[in-house]
Amino acid sequence: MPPPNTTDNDDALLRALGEGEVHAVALLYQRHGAKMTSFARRYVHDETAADDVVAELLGRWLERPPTVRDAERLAAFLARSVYHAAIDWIRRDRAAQGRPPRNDLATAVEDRRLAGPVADPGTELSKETLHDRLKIALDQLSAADRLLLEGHYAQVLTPAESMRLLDINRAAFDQRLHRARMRLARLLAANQPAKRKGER
Amino acid sequence: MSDQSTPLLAELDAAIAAGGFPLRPKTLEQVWNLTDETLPSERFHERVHQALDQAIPVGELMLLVTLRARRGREPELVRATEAFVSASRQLPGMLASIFYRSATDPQTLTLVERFAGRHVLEQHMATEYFRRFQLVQPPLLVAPVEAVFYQRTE
Repeated sequence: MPPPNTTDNDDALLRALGEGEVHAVALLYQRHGAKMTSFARRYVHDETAADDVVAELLGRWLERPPTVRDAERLAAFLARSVYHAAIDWIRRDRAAQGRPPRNDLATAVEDRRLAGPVADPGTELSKETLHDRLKIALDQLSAADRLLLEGHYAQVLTPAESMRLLDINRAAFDQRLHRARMRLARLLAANQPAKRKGER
Repeated sequence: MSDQSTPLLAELDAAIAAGGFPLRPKTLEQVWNLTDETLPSERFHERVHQALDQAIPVGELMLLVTLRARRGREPELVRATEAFVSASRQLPGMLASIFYRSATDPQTLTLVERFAGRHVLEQHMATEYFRRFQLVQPPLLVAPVEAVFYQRTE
């Protein structure tokens, strides 16, 4: 097999990772390992756990190359991968301790059936349907509203970081977050899909 | 503004808990860029290095060499490295020779070399192209070369 071509960019490194090249994992670890563990620490809130999240992720990539999307930037790929690995780790950790998922409201919708204007009573909505409807509603919001909601619900940003990115103070943050949540709730309530044939 | 007084928000929260919150990759990338880097533990480095060692086929060696260019000398270093890589590839037993230049840190080049065995590395280090590359480096580099070996241990 001829040796691979010389390269000078991050796209080639991602391609090599997707092709299962060991050197790509080694190089990502060498260049970005510290950033990856720091990023994981934002979500698992523990230094040892963050190290475990990233070490396990790199180990998985050595066993099974990840799927790399075309034209995906290296930072976007690493952020997405580490975030999902951290969330998986939190889920496994809570399950191992016999605790429910972190979102306290999850138990309220255990049977995946919601009532009220956000979800039409009597309509059984799958997780995927809800997710899709949320996406559609979110696409109708401003970038700032969406950022506030991502910080609040997905906890990807601290309130301080959201305030810094939007250049607002705490009072404005609280007010705008509340308004963004209300807008999203109203959009979801207004965008009730008509029942399709065969849907209960 | 409590959720108890706003049933619509409570329902929204329940819908998000059930459906999961759709997160934009763009936001994650923004957060990535906001994240300050802190050093991982020694235990982390040992664990990852060990996993990488074990991923190398028995007998083979992988070497990652980091070269940091002096400001303004990057083009010369890139040319010298390209010539070195081209010559290296002619050596029997050289499984791969490739270099990467980071988009975010263009002064840093990482040379990746894979050898079929230690004897190939020794032959490589005894070649004329290797000697030439050693000679050309000092004025082009801002820091000493860093080399990390990976090799399976039984």
